Amino acid sequence: MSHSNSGVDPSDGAGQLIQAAGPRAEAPPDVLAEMHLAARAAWEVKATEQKVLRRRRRRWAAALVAAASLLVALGLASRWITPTEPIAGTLMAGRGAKALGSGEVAVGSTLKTAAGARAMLRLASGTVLRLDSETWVTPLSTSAVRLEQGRIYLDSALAADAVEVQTVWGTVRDVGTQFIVAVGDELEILVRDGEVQLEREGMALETMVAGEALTLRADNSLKRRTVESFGTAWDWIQDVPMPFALEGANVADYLDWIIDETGWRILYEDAALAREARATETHGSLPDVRPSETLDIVLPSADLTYRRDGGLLVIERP
Amino acid sequence: MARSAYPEDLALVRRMLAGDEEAFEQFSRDTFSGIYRFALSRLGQDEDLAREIAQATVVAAIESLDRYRGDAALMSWLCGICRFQITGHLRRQGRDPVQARLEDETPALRTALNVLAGQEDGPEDDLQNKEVVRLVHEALDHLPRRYSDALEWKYLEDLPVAEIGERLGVGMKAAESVLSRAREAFRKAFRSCGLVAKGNES
Repeated sequence: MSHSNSGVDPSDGAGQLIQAAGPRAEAPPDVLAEMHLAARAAWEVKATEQKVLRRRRRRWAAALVAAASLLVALGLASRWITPTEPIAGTLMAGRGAKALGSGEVAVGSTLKTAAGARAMLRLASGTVLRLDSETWVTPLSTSAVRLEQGRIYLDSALAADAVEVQTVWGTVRDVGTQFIVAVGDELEILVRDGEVQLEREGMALETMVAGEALTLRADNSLKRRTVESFGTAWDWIQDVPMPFALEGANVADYLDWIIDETGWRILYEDAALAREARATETHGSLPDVRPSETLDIVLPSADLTYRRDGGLLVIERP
Repeated sequence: MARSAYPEDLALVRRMLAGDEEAFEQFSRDTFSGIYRFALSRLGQDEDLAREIAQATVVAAIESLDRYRGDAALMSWLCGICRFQITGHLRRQGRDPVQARLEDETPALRTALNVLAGQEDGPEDDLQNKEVVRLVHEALDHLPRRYSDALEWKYLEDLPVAEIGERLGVGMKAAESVLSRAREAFRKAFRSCGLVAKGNES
C-alpha cells in the first residue's frame, strides 16, 4: 500500500502525517511472547493480591455495619469531631463495650481508654490500631498518632501510607508491619511482622525486624531481645479483634484471620486439606468471644479439628 | 469523586485488577508493541536492551496497576514507566540518561508541526523523515485505542466513515465525531511528543 499524502485534504494535517508515516511496526513475535509471559506472571500475582484486599475490605464493610451498635466513645475524656476538623479515622469498641456515640475521630482528638476497656482505631490511611486499656492516643493525621501513654498494636499491612507513632521517647515508623508500641516509664517496641524504625530528632536510631523487641529506658540505655509472634505480650489484642464476617467466607479465610489475630502459624495436615479449607464455605456469625476461642465452634462445623504446638496451629481431620 | 479523563482505559485497568482474562489480553494487544517501539526508539535501536526494558516496564506497570487513576491515557502512563526504566538502567550502567536522547532533526519536525497546523503542505521527504515517522507512531501509541484505530482505518486503510462506524459499533454521525476527536487528540499528542524531542536537545 502506498502511503503518499495524496487524497487527503491539504488542511487535514493529522491525516497527511499519518498517511505519510505509514503503519506502525508490530514488535517481533518473540518479544511480544516474552512480554506476555512476564506480564501474565505479574498480573496473576496482582489479581490475587487484589482479590485478597477486596475480601478484607468486604469483611470490614460488613463488620462495620454489623457492629454499628458497638461504635463507641470510650468514656472519659474522648473528644469527638466537629465539622471543621478533618477525620483521622473510625473508632470501634472492644468486646462488650457499650455504644456511646459516633465512631469517627477527628485529627487532634485525644482518645483515652478506661481501665479494662480496649478499642480499635482504623486510620483513614488503612492502618489499624488496637488500644490497650489505660492508653492515651491522639491522631495527628490519617497516618500518624501520638502515644502519650499505654500500649497500642498496629497493623499496617493494608495501609496506603507508612504509619508514624510519636512518643516522648522518639518516633516509631513502620515499613509495612504489625507491631506494639508501649509508653510508660520506658519505651517498648515489639515487632510481629515487617520492620520498624525508631527515630529521634529526625535521625534513625534503631531498626527492628520481626521477632525483635527493643526497650529504651530513661537513662537512654537500649536493650534488644527476641520475641515470639504470639503469647502473653500479644494476647490483649484479641480483646479488640478485627471484625470478621463468617457468613459467605471460607474456612481458609477464617483461619487466616485467626493467624492475623494470634500470631500463630498454620499447618494443614496435608495439601488436600488446605484445598478443602479454601473450598469450604462458612456460615453464621461469630459469638462475642476472643478469636482463638472461636476455633472450637467453627472448625467442628466444617468437620475439622486442630491442635496447638507452641505457635503452630495444626489443622487436621477428626 | 472526580471523573476520569480516560474512562475506557480506567475501566480496562479495573477489569484487569478484578482478574478479567480478556481485559489482560486486550491490554497486551493494545500496549505491548507500543511500549517496545517506545523503548527501541529511546535506546538507539538496541533491540536486546529494548526487549529487556519493555519487559521490565510491563511488569512494573502491572505491579502498580492499582495506582492508575485514568488521569492520563494508559499508554502515556506506561510510557512514563518505560522512561523511568530506561533512566534507571542507564544510571545503573553509569551512563548519562541524556545519552539516550533522540537524534532530533529539527527542520523536518518543524515542517511536520506546520503541516499539522495546516500552515503548509509539507514535502513528502520531510513527512517521511525517520524522526517524524517515529513521532507520528508515538503520538498514535499515546491515543486511546479507539482513536488510533479510527485514524489508521481512515488514513491507512482508506475506509469510508460508515465502515469505520461499523467497526466501532456506532453510527455514521458518531463515527465522524470520533474521527474529529481523534484528530484533535493526535494533534495534541504529536505536539507533545515533538516538544519532548525538542526539549532533549538542550
